[in-house]
Amino acid sequence: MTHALKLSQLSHAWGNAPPLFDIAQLALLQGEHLFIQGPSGCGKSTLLGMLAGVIEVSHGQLEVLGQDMVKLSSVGRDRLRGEHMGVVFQQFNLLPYLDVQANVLLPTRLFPSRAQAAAQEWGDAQSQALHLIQTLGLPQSVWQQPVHQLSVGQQQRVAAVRALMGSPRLVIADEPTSALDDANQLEFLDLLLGTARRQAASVVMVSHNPHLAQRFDHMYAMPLRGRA
Amino acid sequence: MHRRFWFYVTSCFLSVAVLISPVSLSAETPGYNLIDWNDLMPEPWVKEMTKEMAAVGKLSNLQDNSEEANKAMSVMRKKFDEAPIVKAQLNKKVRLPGYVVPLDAERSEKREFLLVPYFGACIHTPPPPANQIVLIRPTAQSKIKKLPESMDIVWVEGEIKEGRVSTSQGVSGYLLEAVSVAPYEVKPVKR
Amino acid sequence: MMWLNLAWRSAWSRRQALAMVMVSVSVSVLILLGVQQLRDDAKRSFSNALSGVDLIVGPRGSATELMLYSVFQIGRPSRNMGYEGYTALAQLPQVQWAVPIQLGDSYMGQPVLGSTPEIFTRFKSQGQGLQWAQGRAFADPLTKPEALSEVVLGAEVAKRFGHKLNDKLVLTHGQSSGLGTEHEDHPMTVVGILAPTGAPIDRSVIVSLQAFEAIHVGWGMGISPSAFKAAGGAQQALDIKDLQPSSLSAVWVGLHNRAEVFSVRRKIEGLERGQLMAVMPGVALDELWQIVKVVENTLLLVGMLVAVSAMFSVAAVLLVAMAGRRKELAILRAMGAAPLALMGFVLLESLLVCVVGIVAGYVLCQALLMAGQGILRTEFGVLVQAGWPAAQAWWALAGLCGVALVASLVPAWRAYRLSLSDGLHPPSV
Repeated sequence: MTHALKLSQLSHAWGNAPPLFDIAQLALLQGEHLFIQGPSGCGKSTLLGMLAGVIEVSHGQLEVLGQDMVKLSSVGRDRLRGEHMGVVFQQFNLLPYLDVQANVLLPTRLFPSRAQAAAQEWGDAQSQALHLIQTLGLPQSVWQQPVHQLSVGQQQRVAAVRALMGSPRLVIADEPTSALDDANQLEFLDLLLGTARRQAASVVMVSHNPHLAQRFDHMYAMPLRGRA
Repeated sequence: MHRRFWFYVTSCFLSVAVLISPVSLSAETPGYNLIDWNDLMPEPWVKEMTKEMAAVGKLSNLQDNSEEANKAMSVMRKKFDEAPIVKAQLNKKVRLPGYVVPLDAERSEKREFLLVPYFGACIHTPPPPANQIVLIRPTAQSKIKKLPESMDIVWVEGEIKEGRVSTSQGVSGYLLEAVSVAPYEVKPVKR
Repeated sequence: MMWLNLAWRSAWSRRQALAMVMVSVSVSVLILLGVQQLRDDAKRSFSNALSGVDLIVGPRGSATELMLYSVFQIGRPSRNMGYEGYTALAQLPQVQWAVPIQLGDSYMGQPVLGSTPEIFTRFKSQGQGLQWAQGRAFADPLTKPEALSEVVLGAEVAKRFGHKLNDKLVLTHGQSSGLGTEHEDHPMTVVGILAPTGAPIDRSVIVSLQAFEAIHVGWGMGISPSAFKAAGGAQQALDIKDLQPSSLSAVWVGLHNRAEVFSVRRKIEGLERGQLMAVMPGVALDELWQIVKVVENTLLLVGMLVAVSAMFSVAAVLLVAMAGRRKELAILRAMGAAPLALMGFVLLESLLVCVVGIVAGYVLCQALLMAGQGILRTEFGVLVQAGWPAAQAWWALAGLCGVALVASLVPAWRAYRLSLSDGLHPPSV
């Protein structure tokens, strides 16, 4: 079994400030989901940035999807993210000047290998997209709609569809449910995690709400600033 | 008015000096030899005119604008207008620099112009003698680098022929069918 | 292609603000290209006006004015020269031919030119003589008095007013037709229509000197019975010799040998107690162009500066918008776009707006020139030629695109810096 991510002695500090976090050991098997819990300010955004390959690793070791993130160049990290990862933010995930179709297909247009991966299983990217839309509980009519016509909950689901396009191996979610109301939070989470599991993708989610942790295989509580 | 006379004489020499001293940068056609404006004036005529000019000059200095001085001036002018050509220069392939005086209102490369040795040969200064004016006629085969405009300095190459003016002294004036017309670039003389 | 599509959609979402600055780009390009094209067309039209004339003689005064009215028929003569001056200079041995010119009347806004029939054989434009579309020249009234009522039309005049041979015209005194100044008692008959030359003569109505005089004097003609009308008061049948003009506007002179132009000039200026001025048309026109060149270069410089500032306005709009686009950049970053790619994206967007503005400006310029073609030809004698921009205009356009590129680098660089520092988590929102 391969690891989705594996890290040791990972720490990060901004300038001469004391370290934001210092994680001795963390590992996640491919296909399993990880919940990272912590209040704001504990550096979880920075950790996500490192996992996504946007922030450079300065101290420690980090391996994501089998790639050494310390040795990989910034171009390589961007490429890894573009080809094999999906990202869901808390809100405003979609480009306002594109419709749903253009937004969802964007990763496959940026990276042809992703389009190929979708095509392998579904014939073409659009077919996978339409299937995912259905799976995530959205009506087919949403495909042609402009973004501003969707509710927040619908937008988050579209973001999830986009993140899952082309069979990524890792989905990084930063407080994806925090903007939704309580009833929808769990439903959204179930759909996301279930669909990811069927695609054998790992989901790493960060949230301040510990009640959501039960849906996940593993949980990691970020220590408060400075504490080991 | 007679002061202008001396102005002509000095500007003539100065302008010719400008044309001779610096080295020109434009390409030369082989077989066309550089000539001087002085080569276009017969020596005996030059000697005679120099004597006459001195006499007229003295007269104008003493009695400016008198009838006698004016008459002497107009006699001088008539001789200039009928200045003889140097037959030995005819049918030679020459290269000559000069100032452009365009003849047609039409601004095209086909337009004929007069080539004169000094600047301003038409507005305020007396015109040069007829043997210091060359009528330049471009042909369809002429290589014209840039449209010659009034008062441009150019190099002209071609075969010198006689003009068609008949005077009491015989035929006057030169004609040149231009093989090439190129701008004259003045390089500052290094000291 | 995908980035281009993205850039286009992004720009389109901001179209209100961008449309305004884009219009300023278009207008500046319109000025730049328009000035250049008009200048080229005007130069070409003017330089084709008259060839083969060695000297233009007129009353002492402004050489430029003389050139303008006697060759281009723009403006009016403020003074006249005496007719004796013409006869005197025509007798000089070096003069091969001399054509007298009288100006001052007009027909429906087109200038009327009085001259001898010799004008039709001596006039040359671009080295070509005048050709007849229909009919013939008017005869010399000294030998055929009926010629007093004959008139020849330039190609443009005939076309504009739809005249054919044998049509009747009435000429007006002065430059425009006003009440009570029309010579209704002397209708003229069209005996010839010239073929087009592209020169100002196309706009002229040409009559004999005597006809010009007769109209001016306003007396009954009594020569050709059909034209004779009782105008009240004393009228007398005039002897044609009484219609000898006393003054002229100008004389066109041709020499046996052009190289003698200097000495002939001095001789002419010595006639008539120094009241005459002889202008070398080539020299005068070149001097006119040298003045015009200064004006034209100034206009071009101004146009260039306006275009540059317009382009920077486009970049400024996008730069200001950049603050609100950080989330958008983070989204693209999350999908694997590198900061350099995002820089390229914003650069593309800015360039796109500028280039569309430039193209729109070009199209607008051509449209306006085509629309004004008629007026430019009939009022100013300038022939506008349609088509692709000249070589110089291409250089100007390329230069503008270069400026657009430089200006676009500003918001693009900002996008690069922001996306680099923000990563996936831009501040705010």
